[in-house]
Amino acid sequence: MLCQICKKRPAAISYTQVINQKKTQLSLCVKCAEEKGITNPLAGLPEMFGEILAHILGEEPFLEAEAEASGKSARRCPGCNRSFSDFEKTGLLGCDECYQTFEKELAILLRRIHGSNKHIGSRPRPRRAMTTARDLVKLRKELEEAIHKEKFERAAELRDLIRDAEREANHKTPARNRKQAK
Amino acid sequence: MKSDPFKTATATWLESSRMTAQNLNSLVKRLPRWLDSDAPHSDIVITTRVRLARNLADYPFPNAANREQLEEIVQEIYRVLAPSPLLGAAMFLDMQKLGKLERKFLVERRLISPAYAESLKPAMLAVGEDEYLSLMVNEEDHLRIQSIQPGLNVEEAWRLIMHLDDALGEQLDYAFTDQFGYLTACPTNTGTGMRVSLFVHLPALAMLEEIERVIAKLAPSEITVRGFYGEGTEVVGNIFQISNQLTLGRTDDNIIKRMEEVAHKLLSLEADARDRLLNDQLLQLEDRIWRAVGILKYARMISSLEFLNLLSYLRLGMDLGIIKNVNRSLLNELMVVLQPAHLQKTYRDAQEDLSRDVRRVQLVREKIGVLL
Repeated sequence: MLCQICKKRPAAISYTQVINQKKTQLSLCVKCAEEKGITNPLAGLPEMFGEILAHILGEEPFLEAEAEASGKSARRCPGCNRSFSDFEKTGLLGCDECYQTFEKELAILLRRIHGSNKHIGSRPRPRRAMTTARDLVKLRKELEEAIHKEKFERAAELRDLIRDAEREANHKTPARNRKQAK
Repeated sequence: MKSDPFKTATATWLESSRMTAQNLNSLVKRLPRWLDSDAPHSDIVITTRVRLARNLADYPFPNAANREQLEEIVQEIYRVLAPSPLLGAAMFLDMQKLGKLERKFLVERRLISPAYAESLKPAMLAVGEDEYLSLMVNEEDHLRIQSIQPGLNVEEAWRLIMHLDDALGEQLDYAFTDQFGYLTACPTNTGTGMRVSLFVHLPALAMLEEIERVIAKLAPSEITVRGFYGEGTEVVGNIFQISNQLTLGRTDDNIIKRMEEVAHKLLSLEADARDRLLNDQLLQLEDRIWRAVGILKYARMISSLEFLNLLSYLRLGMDLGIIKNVNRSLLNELMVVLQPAHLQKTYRDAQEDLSRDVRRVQLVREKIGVLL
């Protein structure tokens, strides 16, 4: 058997994954395996979950995908401009909004993958910061722009806002976490 | 010109990214703490890893984001991480400043995934002080947080990663909905975004050819088993990666408990197999182990794959008291430092396949030769 990557040298090792009693194999020559840095089973072995996904997607076409195939205009996610069949091709969604845009399809798909489509695990902590890092980045950009356009009054305002936000950011690591870090 | 007293997030990250080469070199010179050998059940479970997949709201996932957005994500996460005490004296590496060899080194070191090593996108790797915690920014998801512990220690790995995740969640706007939980690029991670992996050494089950049966028995629908098979049926290094497969509709606790149960089941099956080998096949067992010793003692070159197989028998011999005077932490260390990119980064005379294979066996004898 030839290496599945270079298709030249004989395969010496094969990487095997068993999911749902289904075995998936990737056979590589030593050279390609070393190239990829995957000769050590302790290093992260590639996740071949794409395989189960492809399998599930192949079971029966989703309505959205069918509509697309039959020439009806495809619904596109306003967040990333991807359609559901784009996802079917790559196995990757384009943005968090896709979960809303393709909610129906994903609810079915997630149930097939996980046996459930309702999250019951932990939630993110409530946001502590009034100004997020994201806002700060925005503010700083605005500041640069203001300086560039010589709008110095606005720049001074922005500078104060940023200073306050930074002060806040530097004091917001909770004491509880600090203790447990040591 | 008046200097701007307000460093932008961009400037701070750019400043920090200049340290990338230096940081990588200091990684080469030290050893990760997860090699410690006195951890619970470290005779069979080599390491425990927990990883979380997280994304920031409003930015496209890395596969759909443009360069500017990816750079913004790096900066935003850097700004939150850099002052955090949870990573200790952290290192930040600008992936774009790293070449092929350096990336391979990081894969071997378990700090990045093989896919991340190939990516040319703006990306940042953050490494915590003892390498217990690390974060890949802009892998398949904006954030892949990883926590590694030696031996079987899901609780501790979870404790550390949970605090980091909580702290980040307080300052970053995570993509999350009540219905689906944490939103990830691939639906196989949606929900908790949590993957617990145990790296287990099962040489006795492998020798008795019972692995397949054991795998089939292990809660088939919820557990994924991965391994590298060498020529024939032998699994490279007899090391298997056991992970939870499902992430949605389960609490974090469910997943942890389930993986601990699986681990204990495996521990007892392997221990039982080792007993049977000692009782019924002692001669065959000793023969395998001493052959491995013989090769390590006299061979002139050994490839990384062959070495992992030999190491497996050395480890088994040590666990069973057949080989004396070799300690586990030394074997763990060899498993890391004798990998190809590690050798290449450390020794000038180990740049070619052949010279690396020669250097590898020399180092084995330097480190443990007198004990064999």
